[in-house]
Amino acid sequence: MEERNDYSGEFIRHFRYEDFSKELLGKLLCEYGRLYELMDGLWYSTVAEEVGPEKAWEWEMKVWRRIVRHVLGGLQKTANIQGNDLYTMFKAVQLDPCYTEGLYQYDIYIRDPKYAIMTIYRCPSLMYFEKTDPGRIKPLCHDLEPPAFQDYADHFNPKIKVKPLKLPPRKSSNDVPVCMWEYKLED
Amino acid sequence: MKELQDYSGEFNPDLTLPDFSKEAILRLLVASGKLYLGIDGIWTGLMRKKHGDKVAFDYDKEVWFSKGLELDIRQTVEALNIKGNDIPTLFKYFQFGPAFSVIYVGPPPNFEPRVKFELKNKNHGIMTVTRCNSLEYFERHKDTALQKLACEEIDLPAFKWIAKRFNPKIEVEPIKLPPRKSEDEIACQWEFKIE
Repeated sequence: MEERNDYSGEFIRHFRYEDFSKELLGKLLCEYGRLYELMDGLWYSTVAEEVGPEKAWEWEMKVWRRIVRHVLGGLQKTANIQGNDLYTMFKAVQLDPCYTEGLYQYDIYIRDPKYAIMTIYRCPSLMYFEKTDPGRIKPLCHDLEPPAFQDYADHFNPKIKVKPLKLPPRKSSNDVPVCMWEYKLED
Repeated sequence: MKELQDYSGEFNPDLTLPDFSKEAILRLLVASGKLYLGIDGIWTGLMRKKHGDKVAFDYDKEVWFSKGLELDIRQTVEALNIKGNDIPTLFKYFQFGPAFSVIYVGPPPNFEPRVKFELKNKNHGIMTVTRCNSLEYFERHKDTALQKLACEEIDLPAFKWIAKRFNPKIEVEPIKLPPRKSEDEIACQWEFKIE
């Protein structure tokens, strides 16, 4: 059977995912990544409506500190990613649903096995909060992300230390990169 | 370049999804669907601990019925170019439901769907969930409250809501719902009809 590039044709009774093209499945993967982020956003805004943004943010922090092991455990098993160095950790970053194409734009520069920099040029969460609720930028970028990025590193190797080099808020939408992170593997 | 079957090899700073084989992308798709449902589960779990079942479940319903289902449908049908308002169209969406059929599959390389669709005609179809990860989780943890929430308070109205979103004339009835007596039984079965 010829691969399908969309599902505009007839309903397939004897349905197999492999009947669809790799390109389409990749596109769908990016949409699922988007839904993953949107689901969290919906929960945050639903809870915030009831208990206010401050209280809801406490839960948001808990969710993201808790989900790291689920994300990384699942990805490592799915993609057979093993190891405890910077290269291994960034392999997982590349496949994290949050970082799927079309959401974030980022660059990973690994200078050597002990030093790397991750630069984020486009961040949909930041763009959303800049537009709707700038008061949430500091809690997101300064309170949540540094420990969350460190959790991510700790999962692979507690000797990997993460330090933000640049964080929002930014003066204008032309101020890129939006954030930069330094990774050092200590002896 | 040879397609990657997994990412056990060298780090590639210029990695793109097409570098992977179709099977690897499918594995990632299943994992991604699970995380999408998983983040909902983490929020629900935290809220249950803090506020109890009723408040947590009310939040969860609010999340899905306010915008969650709409976004789920939109992102999926747009990516797949699914258009129409009959039962086959609805079933096409269900086949790719990110928190549904896509995560209810057998192991690679076949990813055998565990949600089966029987189309009697374009106005009548039966959907059978032969195995359901969520139900198996509830059964394993003897979490009847969460099972009732998922199957009766979310899935039942959600299937009706989704069906109406495709066509207000579609009626949905459960033929069989959990709990089940043994693991040999199917998880659930649903009838979709346009009168």
